[in-house]
Amino acid sequence: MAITAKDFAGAVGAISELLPYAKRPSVDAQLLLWTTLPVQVQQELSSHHLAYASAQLLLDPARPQELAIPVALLRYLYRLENGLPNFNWGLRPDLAQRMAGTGFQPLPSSQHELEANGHAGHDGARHEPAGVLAQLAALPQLHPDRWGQER
Amino acid sequence: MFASPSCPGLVPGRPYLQIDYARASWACDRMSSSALRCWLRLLTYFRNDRPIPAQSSRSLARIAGVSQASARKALAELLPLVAFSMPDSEDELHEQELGPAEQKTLTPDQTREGGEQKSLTSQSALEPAEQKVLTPRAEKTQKRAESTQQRAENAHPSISSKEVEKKGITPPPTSSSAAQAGATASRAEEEGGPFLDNLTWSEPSSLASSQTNSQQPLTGGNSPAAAGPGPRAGSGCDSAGPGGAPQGPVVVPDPNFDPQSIPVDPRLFEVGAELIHFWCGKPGPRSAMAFAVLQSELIQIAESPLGGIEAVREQLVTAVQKGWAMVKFRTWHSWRQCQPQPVLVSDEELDEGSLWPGLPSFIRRYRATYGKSCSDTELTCAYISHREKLLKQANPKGLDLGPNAWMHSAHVPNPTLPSAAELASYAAEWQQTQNGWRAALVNQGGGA
Repeated sequence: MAITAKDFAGAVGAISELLPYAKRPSVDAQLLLWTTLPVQVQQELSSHHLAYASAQLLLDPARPQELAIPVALLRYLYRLENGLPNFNWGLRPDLAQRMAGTGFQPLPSSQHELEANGHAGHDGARHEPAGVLAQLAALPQLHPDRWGQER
Repeated sequence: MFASPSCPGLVPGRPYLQIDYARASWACDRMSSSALRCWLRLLTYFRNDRPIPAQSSRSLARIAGVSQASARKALAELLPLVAFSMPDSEDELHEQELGPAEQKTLTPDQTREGGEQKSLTSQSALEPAEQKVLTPRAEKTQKRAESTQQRAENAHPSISSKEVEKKGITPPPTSSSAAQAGATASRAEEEGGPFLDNLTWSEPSSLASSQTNSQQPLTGGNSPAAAGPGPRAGSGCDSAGPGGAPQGPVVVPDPNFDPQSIPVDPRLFEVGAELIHFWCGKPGPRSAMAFAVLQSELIQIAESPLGGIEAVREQLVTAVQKGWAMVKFRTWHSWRQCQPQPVLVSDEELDEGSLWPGLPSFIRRYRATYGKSCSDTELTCAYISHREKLLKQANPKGLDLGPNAWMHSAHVPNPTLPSAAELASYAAEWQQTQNGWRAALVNQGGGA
């Protein structure tokens, strides 16, 4: 079930060769990536997960250019917090369905989309593509619209 | 200026014409255009490290491509100025006998000269045995060779050794350090000095006189540069003798000459043999002043932080092989800076302080085995395989040491470098990983 360092390095190296603007990681960088990857992630992922994530990353029309390749890869496998994978939240609940599907499956871009797909609030998952400031609406006294009034 | 017995217009080893400004302007002011043309043609036509043989008006007309009448007038202008060497009557005959076909073979060809010179030089430097083989033949044909040598040496250097051998002539020595077989052998018999066995000489035609001639300045006695009257004494350019052709001041050969008496600086004792070898065979000036200059340049190299005595030895050997006239510190220094010596770092030094234990030396060995083009991913996987193997050796019972135990130095205490077979197995493992990765992708594609 678990992936090895070679699997991970092979996937990251191959994708960096395929992507047009990616840097190829050096030996040190690949070893650093592997050692900084949580052991839980190393053990719960399989090579099929890696292959699925690689295919999604290559097909993604809105591929995040500014993210490092391993982070961008794991976006398709883990629940997202502010657009980044949160490993503590675990794998996506719909990952099995997605891997069974065909072609590119876009990630939900909003909380509304999550709710529409029936995944909202599942196991504390949340998706905040707009960033943490969107959560400020929950605190009326901190809402930006009211700042002027209070002053 | 023109009285210089070795032609001043050309510098040995440089195929292009080089005349300094003073001589050129003097000549332009005082000589007719046809005489200038003839002089320039003579400079380029004949070898530059020995005197030009005296020309008849007919031969001068042929060489310079002017009419015989112009050649006669030019000769009248040149004769008081240029110190021609006096050729033998036989030589003159040979010169006259030259047919047009033979003249064609003597057409100036500087690049060919350069190549031939190099090959001859390397031959003489590397194959003393072959020179000895050539010796009896040289003795047999000595008489004829002597008669034709002047022409063979002077007519043009581009004459190929094959052509000469066909005619039964000993191959003409080129300038610089190319050795002639007879010269080397007979000199070795005469001297029997410790470093004279492989000596090469630039003027081998008349053996003893040439040798002592060239070495005489070092004895400090009556050197031609010091004793000889005329402009050449002041110029101090080429003190190498003309090779037996009587001209200019008559130099008495010193029978007591001993090459070991060459005053080698104590700082260069270690390369003394190479130094004297180079000095005795080199083209160009061989005066005491030139020797002092050479030694000071070599000492600069030896004392340079980039250099050392081995660098001096290397320079001297290269100078002999390439026929250099001098070794210059600045030339060497700029060359050395362009081509710095490789830094030799041991594996321990390389691995010291590295984040991943033994990784730099592993990369070096792997790249040395499989070429520099192997990817970083391949290197990573091979390194991981290596560490896993080391872990297995250190943990034969297969105790659970936790995840990524292969990476921890505590578990793999004494990393050793992989052998070639181990490297091959790592490369094979890398192939397997790639195949597994490919299979996973194919499954993914099939499932999709």
